[in-house]
Amino acid sequence: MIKSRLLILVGCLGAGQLLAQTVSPKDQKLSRNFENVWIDSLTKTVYYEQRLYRNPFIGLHEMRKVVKDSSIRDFVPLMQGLPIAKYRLGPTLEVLPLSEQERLSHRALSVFPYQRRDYKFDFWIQPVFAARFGNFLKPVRSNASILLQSQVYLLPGLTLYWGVLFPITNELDNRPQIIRPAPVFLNKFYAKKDHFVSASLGFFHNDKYGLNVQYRRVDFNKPWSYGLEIGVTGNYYYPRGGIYYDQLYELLLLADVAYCFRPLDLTLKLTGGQFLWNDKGVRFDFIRQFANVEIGLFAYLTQNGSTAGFNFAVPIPPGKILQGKKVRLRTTEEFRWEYMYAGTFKIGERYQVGYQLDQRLRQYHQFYLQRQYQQSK
Amino acid sequence: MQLARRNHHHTFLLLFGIMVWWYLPTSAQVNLSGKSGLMYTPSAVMTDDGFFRIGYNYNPIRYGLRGRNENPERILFANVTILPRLEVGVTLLQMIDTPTSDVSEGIGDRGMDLRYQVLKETEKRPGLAVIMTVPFTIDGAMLTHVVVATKHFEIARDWKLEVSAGYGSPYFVYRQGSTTTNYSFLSNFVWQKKSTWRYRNHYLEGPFGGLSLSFRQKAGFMAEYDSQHLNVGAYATFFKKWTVQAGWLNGDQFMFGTSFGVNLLKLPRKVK
Repeated sequence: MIKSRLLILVGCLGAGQLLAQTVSPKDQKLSRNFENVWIDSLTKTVYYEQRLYRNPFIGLHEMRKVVKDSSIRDFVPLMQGLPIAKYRLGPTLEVLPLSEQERLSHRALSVFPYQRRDYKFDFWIQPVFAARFGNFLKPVRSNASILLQSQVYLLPGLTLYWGVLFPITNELDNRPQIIRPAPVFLNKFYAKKDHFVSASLGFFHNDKYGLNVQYRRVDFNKPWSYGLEIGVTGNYYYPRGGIYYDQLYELLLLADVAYCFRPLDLTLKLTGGQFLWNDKGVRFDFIRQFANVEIGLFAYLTQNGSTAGFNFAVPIPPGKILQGKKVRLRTTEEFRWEYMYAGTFKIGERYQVGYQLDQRLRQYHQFYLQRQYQQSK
Repeated sequence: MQLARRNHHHTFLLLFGIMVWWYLPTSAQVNLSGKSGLMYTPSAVMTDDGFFRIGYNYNPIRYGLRGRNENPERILFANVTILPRLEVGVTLLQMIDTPTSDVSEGIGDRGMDLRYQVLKETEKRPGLAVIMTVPFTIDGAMLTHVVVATKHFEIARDWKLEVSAGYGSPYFVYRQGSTTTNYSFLSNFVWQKKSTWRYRNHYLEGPFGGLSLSFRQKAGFMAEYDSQHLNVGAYATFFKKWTVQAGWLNGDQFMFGTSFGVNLLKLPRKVK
């Protein structure tokens, strides 16, 4: 029954072909920015995935240019092949939850693994920089590297992250500077109504391996959101000619509540629980979402001490470097960096998985996208 | 009910539009620590919400903040107007090696300043701002604890005069201790008299004031009394984003700097 609906399934290449008669070569080229594009002509909805921009509004704007059909008002961005929510572009931008029926019909028609048909191999360059300041002999001691990363979509929502790490400096520990695997892990993204889950299993950043599960409840039209995060990890690293890892002994257990102020796109967030090193306490975040950039201030009050700092998230220019139908090389859509004044006191430490669910989801909030939508008109 | 909500929505959009598109003209020149200002002195010139600035200043040896006649200094700064009236800035003050004085220190003085626009400038009254180095500071030579007012006057076509007057607090609060033993950023606060602080540079201690005469906000001349000396200078702004400036301190030595500013709330180019 679902299949009898007139639903056009197209991959990235297909989108180009489908729209070939109606769009200019420039817009056709633009269509290569997207993957897993589906146009449901019955409900006038476009499903699409874009991995190029940190700011989803650029994707929304470009997708609108690509489809060119003014009767299509509903846009559904996907993440790892799963719909996030429906964005209706009228006089204002509205966010509508996807009905269970819509999720099911999208799922029934999506063909996994994607890489079997018109899958795009997306590689991105991600710099990593950790530093300690203040040593008199060597004021900046750093551990810097460049990661060449990619993803393989396995099942709806299930993705394998993998990559290669190229070391640049390492003055923080005496581990060998060898070309080695970048974080390799499986990530399952799950979305249903206001509930979102991101579960990761594998080798993460910051030399941690294990399991990390993040849950978030967020209604993109409302200011409040809540989250839970649990992680069980151990340490790993690559000595020459092998891999070293110790036991899974660390528990990360955090709960948070966040409130987003309109029209500033200012989020205040309070997180409490256990950080790494059994450090229990709270973290307060003050986060301002600008257009492509996010800047935040934060403070920790934990058993190990209290400190404050700032962080930011920026896309790294130029973005796309090479883009064909099947392969793309780009700079990372998001580089995140955090500075805090903590010396070596292990205050509120944590590790990074591929993406942090709350950071990713606040980019899809109605307030944030609405502001840009109104500005763009 | 439905209608009321819709109206409410339109009011929001209207307010929003005003917020985004209406702003007072911003001057591009910055002081030593990267705030709107002249050479040493800050001003109460309002920065737009979302304005981000990054830059560099050179401070000559005879006016070194860490020690007079010891080393020239460089200041790297970045600041952002993180809320419509609130600016947060971070600074890094480093001494520069000279043939006679090698620098042996960590990365330099890391500082953080907050600036709050108490009053916005209107036709009738000047703008007023309060600037404060955060009290979590343990050790710092470039400390700002001031209140300052600024007013603009159109004196001829394309020529604007900016007049500022302010007062630098003779006392401040800091955190006593050392960077290796003190881990609680909310403890050990103490009052300190600036004139007896370990760096006796008297930077912004007492009354100060300044003038800037600008042509179409693209270039201008500056003069100030920085609470200790009289300084004069000039600046020019290119492509609306990049500013170069220089000052002659006390008729004696030159400082210079450059900064780059953009508004982070501006829509990305790809969306225009």
